[in-house]
Amino acid sequence: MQKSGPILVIEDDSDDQEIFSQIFSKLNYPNEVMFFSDGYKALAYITNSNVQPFMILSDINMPKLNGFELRRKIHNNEELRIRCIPYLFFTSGADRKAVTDAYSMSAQGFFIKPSSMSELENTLRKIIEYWLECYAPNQYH
Amino acid sequence: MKNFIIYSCLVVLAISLVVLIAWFLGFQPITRISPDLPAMNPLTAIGLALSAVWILLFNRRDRYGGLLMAIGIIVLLFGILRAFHLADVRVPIVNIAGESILKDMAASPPGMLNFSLFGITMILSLRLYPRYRNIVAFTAPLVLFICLLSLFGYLIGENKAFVLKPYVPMALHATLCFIALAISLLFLLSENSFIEAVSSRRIGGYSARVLLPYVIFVPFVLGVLNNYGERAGLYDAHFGIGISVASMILIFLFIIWRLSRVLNRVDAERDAVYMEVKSAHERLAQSHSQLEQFIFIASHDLKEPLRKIMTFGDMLNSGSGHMSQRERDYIGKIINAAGRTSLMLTDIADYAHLMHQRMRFEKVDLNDVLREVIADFEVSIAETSAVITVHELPHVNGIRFQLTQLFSSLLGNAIKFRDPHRRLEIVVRSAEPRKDEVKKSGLDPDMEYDCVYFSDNGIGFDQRYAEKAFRMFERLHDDFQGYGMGLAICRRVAENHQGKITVRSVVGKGTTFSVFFPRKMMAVQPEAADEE
Repeated sequence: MQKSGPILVIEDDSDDQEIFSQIFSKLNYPNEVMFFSDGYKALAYITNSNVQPFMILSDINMPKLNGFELRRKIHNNEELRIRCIPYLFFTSGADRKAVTDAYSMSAQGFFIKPSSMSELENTLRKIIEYWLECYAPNQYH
Repeated sequence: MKNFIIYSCLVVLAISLVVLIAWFLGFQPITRISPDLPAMNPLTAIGLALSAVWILLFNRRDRYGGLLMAIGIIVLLFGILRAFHLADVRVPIVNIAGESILKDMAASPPGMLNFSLFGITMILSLRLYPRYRNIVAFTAPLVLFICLLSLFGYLIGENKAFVLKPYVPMALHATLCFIALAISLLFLLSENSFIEAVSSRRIGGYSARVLLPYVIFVPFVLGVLNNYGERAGLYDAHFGIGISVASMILIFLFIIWRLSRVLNRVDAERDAVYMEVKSAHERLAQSHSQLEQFIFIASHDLKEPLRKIMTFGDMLNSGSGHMSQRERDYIGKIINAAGRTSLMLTDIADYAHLMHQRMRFEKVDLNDVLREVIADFEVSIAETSAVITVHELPHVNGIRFQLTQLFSSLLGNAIKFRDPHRRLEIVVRSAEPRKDEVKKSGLDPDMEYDCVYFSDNGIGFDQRYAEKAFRMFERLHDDFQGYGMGLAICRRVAENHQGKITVRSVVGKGTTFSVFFPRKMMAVQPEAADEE
């Protein structure tokens, strides 16, 4: 986690990408927001660069590599695992099993996409503020 | 069967009255069927008449209880008195000419025994505990046994051989009357358990109907034939018995073989039908679960675009674009409509889930369930400063998740439909429901139930709409948000627990829901394949 790093949003639905980008621009944090339309693209980006993301927001139902599979790949690689904290799920529907699975893969959060702008805005603000408060390893030199 | 009882009693009554009158008027010939046969004793006639009256009046025992008891005692005394009679204590009965009509009439021991048995049956059937009524299952067959002996004696013309030697035999018509009365008593007091066994359309009834005539007539006829053959000098007694036994065995073997063939065929057919039903049931369960899955997926997928509609609508409304107030209102309406649709879809999915949930019953403490539900509603309860009084609730055999939904719906409704002008008060208590309550709800009043009463002092509704309230998507109050699924879910939950939910409501006063839970559940339908 690097507090100045980019926020990676892995989301296959272009409408939802639009909604996220609107809200981020409204929230107006300095972090760059990057969108990936499936797990592979995100994984390729993370592994092929030394990027230190601030946080990763991931959908679950996605083509090719879904959110859980992506999370598992990241979790199983020690180097990626540390770089990719916090990893949060944002999905449109969930059951008990999905939530349990998510936390058993050490996700740092599980959220249902709300159906109003203001709710999503509040949720995202709280998440970002919380993680801004948290100490990150690179704050020690 | 009722008719059989009535007619046979009337015939017995008629016979015994004719005999009595004949005795009284001195027409001796009428007291016996043929000059060679014994006459019916006047005391026997009185006893038979009284017994017939007793049987005819039994169903009105609430009114004639005293009379019936008196008859029972008299009939029993008849039996005992006649025992004394045997010991030569003469009962003074005179005819119209003033002569004692009993002077050369001895009572038959079988008749005496029969009356004693009748008397005991009558007295025990009236008073004491109902279970003593079962006595008829012992006394009536005993009477029949005695009568059959007598009847057999008449058939072989050797009646005297079948009574204790020094005493006189029972008259033939008395014997027939005793048989009629014994069967009537059996039918009357066994509360159909004997008739049902025979008259049932089921396989047991069929077997009984096939076997009964043979069981009665074969030994009878063989016995008679045997006796005649023996007396005609065709063979001696040992050979006769041998022939009877051997032919009885053969005849019964044949009957059993035929019956078992029929029964086997019927059973095989029933097996085939059962397999068919079973596979139909499986297909049904399968299509149910597919339907449930379909509903779940459909509702989930439909909610996605709705969420987008709401979010983008929200963006439009909260954006800085130029829009008139009216345009913003319209967008607000679009968002609201989408939101309602989305909630309805959630409700539908929940309902479908309930409909076909795998039943996993456990002992559930309703106090626990309600406590959890109240905790969930903590915020609304605090906001409305509602007062909830909970009395001790029962433990029921149930599905915890469903019971939680039930209480959530009820509590949610109470809060939603509170009267704004007074503090909301909710009382939850439980009691054993009155029989008429159970009956009115459509449940079996003979079973035991626990009933949970959930009362509020809310706005209430017109009792006319009580039934409507439980239907899907019915809303009684237009000015309240809601999707009309809550009570439909409650009803489904109650039914899943083999219970019922009913409601009483008064506009402006409040509403009370009664949820009935059976103390003992019937065997649940064969478990559908377990998932989850």
